[in-house]
Amino acid sequence: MKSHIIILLLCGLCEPLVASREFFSKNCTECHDSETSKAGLNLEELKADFSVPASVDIWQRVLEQLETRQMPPRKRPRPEISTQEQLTSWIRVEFSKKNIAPIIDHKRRTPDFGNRLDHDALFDGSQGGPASSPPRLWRQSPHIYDQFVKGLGGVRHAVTIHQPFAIDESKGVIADYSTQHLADSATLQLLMMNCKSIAAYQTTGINKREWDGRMQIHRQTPDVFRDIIESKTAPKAEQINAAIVHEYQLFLGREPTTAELQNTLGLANKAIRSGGNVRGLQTALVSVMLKPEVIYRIEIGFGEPDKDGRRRLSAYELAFALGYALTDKAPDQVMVGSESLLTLARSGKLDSPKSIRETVRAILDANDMSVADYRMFTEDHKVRNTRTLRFFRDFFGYHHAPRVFKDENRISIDSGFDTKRIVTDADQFVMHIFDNDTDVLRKLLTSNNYFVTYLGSDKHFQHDLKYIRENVNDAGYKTNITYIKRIEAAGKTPIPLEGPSSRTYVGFYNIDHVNWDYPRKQPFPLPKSQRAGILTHPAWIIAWSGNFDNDPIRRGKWIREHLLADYVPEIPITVNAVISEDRDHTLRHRLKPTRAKECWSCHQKMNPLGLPFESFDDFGRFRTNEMLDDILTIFPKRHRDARTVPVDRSGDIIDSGDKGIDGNVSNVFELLERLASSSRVRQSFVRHNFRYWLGRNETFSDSSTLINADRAYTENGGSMKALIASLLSSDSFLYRK
Amino acid sequence: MILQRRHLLKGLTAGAVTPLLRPFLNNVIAENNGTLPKRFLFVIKSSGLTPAELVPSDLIPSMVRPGEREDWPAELVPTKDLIDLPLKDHKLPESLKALLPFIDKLTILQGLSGKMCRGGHSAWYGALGCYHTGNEGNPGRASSATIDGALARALPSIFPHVGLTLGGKVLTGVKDSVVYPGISAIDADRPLPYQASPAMAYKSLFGIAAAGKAAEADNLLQSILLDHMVDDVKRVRSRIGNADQEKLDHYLSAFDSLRDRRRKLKGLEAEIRATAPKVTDKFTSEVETDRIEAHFDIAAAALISGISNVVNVRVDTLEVTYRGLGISKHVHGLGHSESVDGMTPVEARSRIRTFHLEQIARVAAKLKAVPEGDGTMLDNTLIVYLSDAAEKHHGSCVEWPFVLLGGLAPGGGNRYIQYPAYQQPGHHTIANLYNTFMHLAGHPTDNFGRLDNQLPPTLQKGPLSQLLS
Repeated sequence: MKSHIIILLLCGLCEPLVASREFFSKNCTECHDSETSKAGLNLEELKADFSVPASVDIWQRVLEQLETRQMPPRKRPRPEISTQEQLTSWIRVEFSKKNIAPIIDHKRRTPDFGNRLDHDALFDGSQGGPASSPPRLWRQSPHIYDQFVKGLGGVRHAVTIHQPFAIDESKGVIADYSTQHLADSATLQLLMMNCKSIAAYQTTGINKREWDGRMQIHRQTPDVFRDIIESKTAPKAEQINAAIVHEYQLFLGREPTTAELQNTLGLANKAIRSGGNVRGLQTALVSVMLKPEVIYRIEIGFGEPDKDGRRRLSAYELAFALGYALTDKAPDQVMVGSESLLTLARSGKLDSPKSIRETVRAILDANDMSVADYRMFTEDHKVRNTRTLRFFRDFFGYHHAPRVFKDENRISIDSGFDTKRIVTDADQFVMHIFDNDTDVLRKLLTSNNYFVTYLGSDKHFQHDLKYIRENVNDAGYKTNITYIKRIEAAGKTPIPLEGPSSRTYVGFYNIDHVNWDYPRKQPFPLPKSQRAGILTHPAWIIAWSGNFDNDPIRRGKWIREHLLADYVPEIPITVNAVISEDRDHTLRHRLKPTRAKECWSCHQKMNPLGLPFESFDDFGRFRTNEMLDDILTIFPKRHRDARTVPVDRSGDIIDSGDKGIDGNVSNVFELLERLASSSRVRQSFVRHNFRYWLGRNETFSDSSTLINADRAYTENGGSMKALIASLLSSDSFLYRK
Repeated sequence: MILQRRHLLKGLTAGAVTPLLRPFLNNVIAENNGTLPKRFLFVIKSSGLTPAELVPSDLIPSMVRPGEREDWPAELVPTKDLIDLPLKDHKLPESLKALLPFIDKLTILQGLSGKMCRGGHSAWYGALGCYHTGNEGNPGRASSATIDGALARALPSIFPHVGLTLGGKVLTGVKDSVVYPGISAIDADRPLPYQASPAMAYKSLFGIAAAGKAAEADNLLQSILLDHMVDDVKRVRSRIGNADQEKLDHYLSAFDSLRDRRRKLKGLEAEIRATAPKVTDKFTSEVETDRIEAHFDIAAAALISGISNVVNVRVDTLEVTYRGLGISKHVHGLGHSESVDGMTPVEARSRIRTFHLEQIARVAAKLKAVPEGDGTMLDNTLIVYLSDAAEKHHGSCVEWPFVLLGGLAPGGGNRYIQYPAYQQPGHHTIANLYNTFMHLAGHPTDNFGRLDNQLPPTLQKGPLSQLLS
């Protein structure tokens, strides 16, 4: 077999089909012959004619299946990797002769392709390294840009600064991949507008009418600029150079090279001659702000090549890579003890993986949010960054809860349906577990220690309650006081929220807002029989629900893809997926059409994982009965007459890839408990972490990086910080090839 | 503006053009041969355009049958023969009423297929490019130019392609920035950006028209800066070798195109100022219908001013809720026949379609008000209304209806055309339609995108003769 392909590669046109035919007959045609044609694929008739689009399409499929090791299926004997690679490289050569782009190369760069790589092959140690990332340019994230603009002072209060680097975010997808975003003319236009505003702010200032009608100039002019703009004569070269150096430091965190200085000086002189000192200087400043380095994180690997031809990131590159992995700030602003990350890197203190791991840990620990004000998460937070929080949000997708439209009629006016508050509760839940850093994934999936309206500290609680007591201007003042007095008289603590409708939101946790004794110390346990981990949190439940109903299919799909590292083929376009709205029956019943043979092969991967969540309504409230008929409101007292049936809570884990967890589950808690105990689930979590922290999909050559990260996690008692430190000190992160 | 343009164009035919205005006219009137410019406006909705709802209402009993299930939309009765009827003899469907004043330039085109595309929630680049790409959440690869991209190249202008949208990818909601909906590409792997914020779109298209001495100085400095940046990016590119070369190339060409644009715009500021849309609250409104209206104002102005010949309005995405039309459910929910306050999902979808066509009518009226050659600008324009999901919410692409408005296609106007159904003799695909567009643009092609392997290749080649004569 091998020899055939080698001959084939050597002599090009002689019998090109022999090799593939032999490979196919040995590994493929039992299922993909003219008789069986599984998945509509007949390889017997496939010709090595790369000028016929129909056969190119099939070769594309073959290439994809072989390179992802999806085929031949795992239960069948597998061909040697080298044999397989010979065939795939032959296909690639033939493609390139005809100028055909392999579709898999494009797919591989997209987030939703991540799980296509055979999971077991990634973790069984069969794949070789050495690991590295491709040299790359990674467009700045919108968060880094925001953070940077904030660092410039008051410019954004004086003028609108547009977000040039927006990311089209999809629910449950890690979207900030280096391959996915670029800066083109549309981005540049926005950037130019911003840069002009910033240059004005740094020089003449921006005139803005304040709320009281006064005009006020907003500016922050460094002395080195002032010398130039206030001068009546053309500035001296030294003055301009000083200004350029200042701007380089501010925007790039480094001094310009001699050539850069010279070029920018040339530009400044020319611009000053044409437009005067002020405009000329502004033009030079804008040129620094638009440098590719400001737009893209440049990770080329400027270090010396090693024996495998890989180049390590230079100290400067590494400092930025780490800084932006862990924070939204440039490395000169990230302090590790008394030194900045940039200084550490430049002084050779980040040369070994061990020192990098220690530094990463130090930054993550300094980020400990258990002592921070949790309310600040989504605002101008004082804590260093929310990169980790954003991982959880991207991964779980619970922060999409407010974007799921729910009919107001079902909520009624006094419900205080406040999904944003629920999202904050969920943020606190995940970050608390992250900060404690033991058994992180298990706790994420099973903990019943929740936060509900936690204000971050007892001090904040006292402050807010005092405010409510004294805020006589509030329309609901009397009601608030009556409420507080009544609760305190009963020896309980009132909810520190103003207004009865706000307080009712705790109902989504099955908490009675009228009589609840608010726990001043949080997290606190909710009944184990009702909550287990983030997937039973109202934020996640709502985010993964429909407008009127639960969404067992997408919940199951989420589990399949995020926890089992599997994928579900797309819905065939001929299928009109409409769930019956016949509310005489339960949702489980209404999903019966998906049990049809042609549907079930895919739906069995989703529905049995999603249906146990029927223990909650689509607002995340635990329930034992499901209401039938038209649902007008979520409040049961208005549904005294509603027809209900007991919830069928059962589910099933089918073909998860971890035999130890496969089988029926009697309810959602058993499902989550079992998932939390699975090594497959843990490894899937590691894979998704890899994608987030490295900004790309894993490849087979990253196998050792994944195995090491998994080991770091388990050996450190389920430490996510150890996992992150392992990833950020791995060859995959440090080397470029 | 209207008067001014009329004078200009009359002047041109009389051979008396003032030197100052020459560059602008050069752009408006195709060089050398004196032919009139050609313009395309694509209006792309999400969630499918239901064929049965485009059938003249008096023909419904014979041409439409109920949907497969009770709550599904009605369907076209498949035909074996070409149906070609004058619209004036029939009753326009309710949602097309706004187009009645333009019935002479209105064509309802049915029965084309696009099975070479993926279908589903969106055929992504395939809808305008005729090929299979993407999956549920992502556009996949743009393997060649889409028709709007190809036309942008064929009909060059200062802004070759103007993309305006409410949201990004089909499953996302309203945005306020530059986005890539994944439906347009100027070339293989070159997706075209869309501006989601009307206010920003206005700034980038018409902002250049600022007047005065300061503006002049600004423009000079801008040229100096752009020249410098082009050199600077080139230097960086040579330093980093082959890594991610494509990204720097994009950035470089962004500076190049800005530079080029400034050169071309020089001297046209007053013209553009006169044509620029009036900025209203709608440009910054959060209400979806306001933003859509603002986008259509911009689209009309971009075409009338001549700064662009190809504009694409991606009019909604599945997460958009038409609150301004009193519809409480987002487009996605309506597509899944979910219940909605006070109306049936079909009624809600009809209300949305009516709104889109009213906007199209508004643009058409503006174009019609501007004389050009012996007629008006509308005579030299084609407005193309379609859905990137073809014929329904999860499109199968077996049918792909279009509403065409404008005089650019000589065979178009006052016509209801329905081609024989899929795999019947005489059937055609969207590739034929896009070939037609290329013919109209003066760059005839006979093949567009990929072929549908289930159909004979010959019938997928060439333009639709009905529209050309």
